[in-house]
Amino acid sequence: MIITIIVGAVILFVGVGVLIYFVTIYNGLIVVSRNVDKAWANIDVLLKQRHDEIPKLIGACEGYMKYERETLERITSARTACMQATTVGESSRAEGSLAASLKTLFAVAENYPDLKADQNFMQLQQRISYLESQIADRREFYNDSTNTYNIRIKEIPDVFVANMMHMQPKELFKATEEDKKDVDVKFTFPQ
Amino acid sequence: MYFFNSGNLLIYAVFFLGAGVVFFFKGFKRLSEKRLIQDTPTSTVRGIALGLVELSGTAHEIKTIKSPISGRECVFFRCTVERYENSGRYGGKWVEIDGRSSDESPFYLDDGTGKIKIFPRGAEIIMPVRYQYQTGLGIPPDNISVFMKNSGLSSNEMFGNNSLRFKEWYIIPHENVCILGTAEQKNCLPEEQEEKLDKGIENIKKEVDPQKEAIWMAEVGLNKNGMGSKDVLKTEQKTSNEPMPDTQNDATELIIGKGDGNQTFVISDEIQSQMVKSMTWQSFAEVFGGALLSLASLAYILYELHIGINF
Repeated sequence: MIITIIVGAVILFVGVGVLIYFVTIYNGLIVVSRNVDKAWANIDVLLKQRHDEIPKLIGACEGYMKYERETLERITSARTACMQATTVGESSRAEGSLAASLKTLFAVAENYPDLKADQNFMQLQQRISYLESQIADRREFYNDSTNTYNIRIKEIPDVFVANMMHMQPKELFKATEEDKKDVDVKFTFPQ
Repeated sequence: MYFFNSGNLLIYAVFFLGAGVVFFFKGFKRLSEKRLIQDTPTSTVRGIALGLVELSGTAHEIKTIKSPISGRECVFFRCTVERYENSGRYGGKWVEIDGRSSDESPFYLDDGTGKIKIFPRGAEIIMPVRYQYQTGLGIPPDNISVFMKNSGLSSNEMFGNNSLRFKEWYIIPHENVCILGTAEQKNCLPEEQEEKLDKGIENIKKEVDPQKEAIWMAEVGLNKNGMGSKDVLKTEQKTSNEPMPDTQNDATELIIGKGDGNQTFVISDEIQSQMVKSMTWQSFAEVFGGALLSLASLAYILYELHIGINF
């Protein structure tokens, strides 16, 4: 009788333990999955803020940089591409292109002392540069979150629960070739 | 011996059965906390977003504070005083009789990309005891004597079976800390304004009118945020000689705290990997230890009941 009750208690502990462990894994996977979505949404907030600053920046530059139309147009089209991007991959490529165009603009601006001295331009440049640093930090955070998620769904014992939930690996925010390139500065003003 | 008679052991067994079940569930709770820490990547202060975040950096003081027992200059402290109480002839236990903390004093965390205020109220502190002293027959060191005098603890309690145990945890300036908490917006006065407000409060507290001070302290306690309410401040402004800051001009600031609800909030001096490692062992020990304790206690209870029935 005693042995039967003890065996029953052992089975109860094992059963409850397995059930709680399953719930812990399930909830853990939900958390890591939502972390990735949240990390992406947090990047998106900053990207939108940067997109809002760009027309103001172009407005400030237009008066001074009459001969840099190509550079300014490249920024405008890169901004449009960013706003149309729907996937992480597309967004990653478009944002890389926009960041490179902005880098070029700031480098070219060095040759326009009047523009450099313009208070409005200076503020916008500082704001966009700060946003760039924040975006870089959040990208890194997004990649860390995605990496954790991708590892979790392949690890034992989480893989069994992840397969039941049909969880798929998520895409990392990769630096584009344009991001890695040096700033290409072309001076087009007449000699 | 009386202690080992079966009636007593049966009571202990029932107690251990319950304790084992509690440990069993606590172990799983720790396991899920461990997973949360493990699965939350470290943010930078510059790129921080609202919600649950993990930060790692060095602690910096906003106001210099001294730990009450050891007198160490620190950015945060918690301390407890326990008294050993006998439970008859068969042992005793340590009972907490006093506990203090600097929960209301925020400090900065700097990770190289920026600094952010940490409001430690409600945080679980994961770090070893930094200072410990237990009274006995010897003469206690000066810091303990002063603390006991200030806290109204009688020196007679040191002797006999009522020894006191003092424990202190603290974070010193520039020490590495790892924090898992909630980033949220909080109404804060600018630093210089806050300093002015603190000085004003100190002046008010210096006033001889104990009734006024009592009202103040009650107000601070009710707010649970260590700051005097604006209404009280306005009333006091009329009587105080010191000009008070304009509290209408406060701005929201991003801070780290416990957040709304029962959020995880951990402050540790260990790096994440060490913290996770120790939590893994703790959860493992609690789950299996708790189950074994319960099963052993159950077996004993059943055995005793079986003999009883046979009698």
